[in-house]
Amino acid sequence: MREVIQQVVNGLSVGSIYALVALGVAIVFSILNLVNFAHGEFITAAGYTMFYLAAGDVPWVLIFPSAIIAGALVAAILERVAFRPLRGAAIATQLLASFAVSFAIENALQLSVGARPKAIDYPSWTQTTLHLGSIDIQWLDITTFVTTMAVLALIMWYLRHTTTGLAMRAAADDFATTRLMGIPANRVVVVAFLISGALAGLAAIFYFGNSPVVSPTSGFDPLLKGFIAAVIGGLGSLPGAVFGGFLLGGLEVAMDATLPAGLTGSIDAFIFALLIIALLFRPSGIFGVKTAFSRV
Amino acid sequence: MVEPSAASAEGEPEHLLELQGLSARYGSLVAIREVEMTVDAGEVVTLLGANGAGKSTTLGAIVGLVTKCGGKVRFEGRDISRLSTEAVVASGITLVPEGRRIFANLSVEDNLRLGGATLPAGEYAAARDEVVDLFPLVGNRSRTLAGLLSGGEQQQVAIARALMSRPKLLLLDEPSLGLAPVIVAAVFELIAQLKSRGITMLLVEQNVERAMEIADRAYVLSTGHITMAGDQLSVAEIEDTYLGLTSSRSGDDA
Amino acid sequence: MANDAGATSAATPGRQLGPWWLRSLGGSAGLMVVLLVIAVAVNAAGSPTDLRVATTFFIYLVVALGLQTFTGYSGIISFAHVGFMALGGYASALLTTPALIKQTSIPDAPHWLMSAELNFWVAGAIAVVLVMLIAFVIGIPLVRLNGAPAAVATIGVLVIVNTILSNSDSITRGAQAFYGIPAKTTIFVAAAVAAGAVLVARLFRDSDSGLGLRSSRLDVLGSEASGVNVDRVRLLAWTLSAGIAAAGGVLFAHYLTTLLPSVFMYNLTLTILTMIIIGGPTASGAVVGAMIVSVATEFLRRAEDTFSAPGLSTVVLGIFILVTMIVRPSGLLGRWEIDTWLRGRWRQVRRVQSGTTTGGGGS
Repeated sequence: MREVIQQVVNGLSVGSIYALVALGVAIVFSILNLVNFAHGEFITAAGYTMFYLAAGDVPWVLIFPSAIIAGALVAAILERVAFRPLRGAAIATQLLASFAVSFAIENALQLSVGARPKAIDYPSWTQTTLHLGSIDIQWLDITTFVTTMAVLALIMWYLRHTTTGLAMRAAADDFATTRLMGIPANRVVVVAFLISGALAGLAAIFYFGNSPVVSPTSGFDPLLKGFIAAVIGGLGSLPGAVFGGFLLGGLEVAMDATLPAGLTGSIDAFIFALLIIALLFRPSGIFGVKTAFSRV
Repeated sequence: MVEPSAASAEGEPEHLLELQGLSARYGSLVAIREVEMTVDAGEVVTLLGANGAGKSTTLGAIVGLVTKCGGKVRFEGRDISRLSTEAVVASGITLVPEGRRIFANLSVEDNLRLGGATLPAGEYAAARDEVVDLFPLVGNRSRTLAGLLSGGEQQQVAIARALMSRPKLLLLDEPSLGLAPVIVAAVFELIAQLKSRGITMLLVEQNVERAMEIADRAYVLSTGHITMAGDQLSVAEIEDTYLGLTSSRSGDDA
Repeated sequence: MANDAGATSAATPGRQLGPWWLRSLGGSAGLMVVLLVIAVAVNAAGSPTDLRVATTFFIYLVVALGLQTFTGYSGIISFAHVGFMALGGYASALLTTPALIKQTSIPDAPHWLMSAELNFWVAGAIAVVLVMLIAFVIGIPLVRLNGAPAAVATIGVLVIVNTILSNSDSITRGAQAFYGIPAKTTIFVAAAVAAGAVLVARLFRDSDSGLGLRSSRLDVLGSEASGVNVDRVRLLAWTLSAGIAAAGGVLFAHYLTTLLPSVFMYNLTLTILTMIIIGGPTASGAVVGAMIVSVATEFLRRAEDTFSAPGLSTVVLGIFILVTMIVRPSGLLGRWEIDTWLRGRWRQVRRVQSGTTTGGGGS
């Protein structure tokens, strides 16, 4: 029982990270049909920001927001430089462009800061545990889950109650008609990228909290998980992405706990195999594509 | 026919909207060629023509959704040819697009809110009251997902949404398209109601008879340019152009 | 054939007498000759470096043509083909590597595999067929997907293949290098296989299935309404393209004589994708793209060594892709095969020469 509860907490924590990444991927996809491989680089950027600021003894109250801002900033810059010229191009074209951009950045980082992983000096409280009777829970896991829930609520509020949020939901439905409402297309897209990048930055804080080492390729693994989660939920559906994130997190933790030791290295392959089988029955994910923002 | 509210008194420009030699193309395909057209404040003008004649392209070019390759669009005397779609809308022209294009996954209320997105904060409530007065449906079913409404109801939402921005000129692209005959009648009644309220409209239609009933003047497009214009055109004559029977004829200008 | 009075439109440069496959053969012949001439010339007069660059070009070209046959014609991005390349390479390597070497490198492998010492061509053919069978089975669920979910699922195939190869310690030596593969890929072998791949890719493109597939790229529902069984033509293309990619993998294995699973991942995928994107979605496009990328990569690699800046080539390659997509979204050659394009131009030139309009046949 104790074991089960701890694994559930673990699953919620991992699921939160994936949900944040998947939500960021889905927000951009829902509006632009862009499968953004460079989303992983937002995570990496946040990681390096934390590494350098922590190494410079900046207080963590400032480092955490900086990481989020770094993610958002990189996202906004890439939107302007790489994705705006390609807006409206075929899904395949945009996907490939983002794949290329992602690799270019990874290698540029290798050239500039080096391929060697750098250890981020996280504050000590992230390593402490809460003792509830016989159950030990990491404070970091609690923080991860609670913050994620709060942020999800905030985003839900934003999408429902602000004009730009509403316009983002409308743009997911029909981009051209949204412009006919007199709403600047660029504003909607830039805000979507900012939110997407900020979510990646937040995810990075928790992700690196669990394994505090950043390298140029750090972002790729959580990105892949975000993709899988978003596809499970039905790419373009925001609630679907969040749901997919938690489902994936739970699945991963469950596999890790139950599979024989020799197979834990193959969890990604198992998850992809499950994804392909699931897509056989529901080719557009659990929430389908068309329900896009409807349940927000 | 012209409503007294129309602005013609002071030294204001004669026409609300004026197309001067407007041309547009898709790639190498010229869609409209040197279209000349005017709409005055308070008027209802209809733009007729067969499928592919360039009617929707003309509207798209006015609001900047279709790239222009020549000519000018003047609105209230100002050249708006180079403005972005959102800037054109902000200047007072709203398009109700073909096929309604309501935001199906949003509630009726949210559709209205987006329609009024360009309004100053203080005017929203008043604009909404006006629109609800005109379309009781959007008030009664404000919380319904717009995609769940019937075609005729969706058309009402689309027009209501467009009116939320209090446009000086309303462009309607085939509002009767794909609707049952009874509903078509209702939609035209609604347009007549808008007209009686002094709303200036440019109406693109395939339904020549209905459009001619309601409009003050008509233009006929065939294969990308204006072949007829005036206020005395006969339905039979116009329909002949659809079959390519008539060559061009300049009508008696209003 | 020379009288082109009827062809007033440049949009129908393919209009020609004879069945489609004859035209495809004729159209491919030019490209195939070019490839073989390169091989002969480099072999006769090139430095060892030239030989290496040219052979690598031919090998990558085969894989690119494989990817083109699916991604280029269907419009669905596949990350799986480098995985198929890996499977082809490992299969052929396992079947040809001398038993003596295998006894030390993979002592726990099953006996039949250990003792297998097949001829290169036989093993290559078996590898290709095997990969096509695997691809066919995986393809059944995959071809029903469109756009982004399809792309993510194909990443899955790549990851799964990589995981299996890196964990099958007793057969592939896992993440360690599999060595001792007989060196069989000469420049002529590579060029010949590449020429064959050009032919297959071109024949498929011009066949009814290829046409159906290309139409589904533009409009899935529309082509289904016109009687194209999109799932079927996609599955056909997927299986065929996996076979071509596997052939590339076989060449690769017998050229390097050593294989590592980690080679067949995203970097190589990006390289191959770049080739087909830069060239455009045709067989000729793959040839042109592969040529440009191979030469550019070689120069960049030298620059990397000179400035000791590893990763530089990928940065440049990435920017290269981005710029190509912005400037020429449909690739350098667009949708034309070189021969149809040349024929269209030739016709235009003739038309201009023989007066303004020859065509009474048009509208």
